[in-house]
Amino acid sequence: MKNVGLVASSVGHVAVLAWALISLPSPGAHDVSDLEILPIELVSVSDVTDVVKGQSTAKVQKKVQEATRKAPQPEEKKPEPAPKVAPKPKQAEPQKQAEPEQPKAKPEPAPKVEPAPKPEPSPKPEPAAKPEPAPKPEPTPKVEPEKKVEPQPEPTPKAEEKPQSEPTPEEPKEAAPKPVAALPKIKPKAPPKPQKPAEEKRKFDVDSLKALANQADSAQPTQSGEQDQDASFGSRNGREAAAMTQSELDALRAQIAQCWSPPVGAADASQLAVKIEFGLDQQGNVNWGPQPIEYPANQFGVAAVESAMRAVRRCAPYTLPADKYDAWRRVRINFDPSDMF
Amino acid sequence: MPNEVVQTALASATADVSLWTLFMQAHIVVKIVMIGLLSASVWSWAIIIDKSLLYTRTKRQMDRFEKVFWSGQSLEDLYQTLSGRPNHAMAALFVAAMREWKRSFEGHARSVAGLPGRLEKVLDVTLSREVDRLEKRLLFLATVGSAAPFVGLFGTVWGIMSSFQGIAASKNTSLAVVAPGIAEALFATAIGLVAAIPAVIAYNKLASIASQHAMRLEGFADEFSAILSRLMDERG
Repeated sequence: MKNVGLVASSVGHVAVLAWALISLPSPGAHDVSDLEILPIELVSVSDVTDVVKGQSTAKVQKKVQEATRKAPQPEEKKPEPAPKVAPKPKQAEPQKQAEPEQPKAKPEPAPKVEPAPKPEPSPKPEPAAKPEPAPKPEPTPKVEPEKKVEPQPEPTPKAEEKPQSEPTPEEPKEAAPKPVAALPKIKPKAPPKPQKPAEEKRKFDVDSLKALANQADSAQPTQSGEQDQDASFGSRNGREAAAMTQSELDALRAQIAQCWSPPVGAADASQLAVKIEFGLDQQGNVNWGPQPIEYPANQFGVAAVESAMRAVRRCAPYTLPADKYDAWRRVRINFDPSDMF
Repeated sequence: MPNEVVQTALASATADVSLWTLFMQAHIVVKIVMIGLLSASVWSWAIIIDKSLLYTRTKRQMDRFEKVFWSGQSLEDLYQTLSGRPNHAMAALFVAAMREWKRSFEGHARSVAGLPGRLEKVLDVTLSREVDRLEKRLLFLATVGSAAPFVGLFGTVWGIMSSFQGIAASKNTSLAVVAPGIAEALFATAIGLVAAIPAVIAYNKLASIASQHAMRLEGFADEFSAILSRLMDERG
């Protein structure tokens, strides 16, 4: 009698274990798909949103650079409207006048380039001048370094090219098929030589023509070093015209920061970190609040909040993009001295 | 060198991780814990089955006996049929009391004076013996129910400890190296819970049934002693 339980229990356990061993032998390896490893680089937004210090009178350079880089596209377009060449010579005259001025203004690129252009203008009036007109009218001061280099080299290759004319087109064909189409047209019509084919030619000629290689080399550093030579577009203190490129919040913060005089005596900027909220109307006036949301937990808390609220009221009409009014109808902003100064 | 590490890690990751290999790879302490818990589980299930059968049988027999007892059948006849083999608790009570009763009236020296006291004693002793028999080994279930999780936890802690020692020794923190050790360690806790959960549930259930039966036996003993003392007074 007593053994019934033991036997039944043993049999049951053996059965369960056998079932377990058979039916769940291995829980199947997890399918791990190979994940592609993506390198991640952390970039601070402030690199983009902080305006570079510069002169407000300067024009934006980036667009010019982009335009010059996109040259291959304009090239194809320009050859087609070739008949328009007529107006260009008219423009060429001011350019010629401008050319002598430009080298004076920019001594750095000039030394290398100058020797070439001075003799050239006389033999090659039209080809040298025509490429310039199109780009120059737009960016007068900044573009000069780049374009001076370009037009000047062009004349030299052409002077030499006329003997060499046949070999040069062949070389570019390998690397740049598109310019090839433009090049044949250029020889008869001469006018619409864009900058890039010229650069490419230079690069291709680098092997054969050392002088051109020097010029091409000189062109690149001038492009990269533009900011050193010319003040780039920006506000005087790097903050004023922030709204142009900064996010709206950064812009607003910059405006408020100008009016903010943080309380004296706080040992540490983090002690003054305040979060306040306020409402703005369409004209940028404060119509609600400001109201503190977080007080810093120290003895400067009340003073910091007071100063922040004062700053918000004092700078009151804020210039913000009107079409995004919904975004800044109600603003919540962190006053953190370590961010704002 | 890194390639080798990766390969070994992958090899162990894709290795057989069935229950049997988990058990065979385990540290000796963990193995002992597992075996102990497994045998505790076997034994507690044996007790559960045993007691369940015993209680249902006891209940059925008591029902039948009470039916017969209260049917008006003569106690003498009932005693004659049961005296040979009092095969359940209530019959044992009845037989013990009747034996004492008959012995008191046998022979010439009728010792009636102390009879009620002796009957009480006999019924008490028999009752406690029968209740003991009913509740025997239930305590083992309670012990398994409360201790098995701890024992399993001990096995787990030990297994994880040794797998961390393995990490320290191999200086490889790959999860594939640690996982089998932790899996086998957790297996010990799993067995502990498998043993403990049915034990606890069955203990609560069986203990309540046992106490019901004990109360029923007690009630019968009281009633029967009342009947006997009335008979004794009638015989004068």
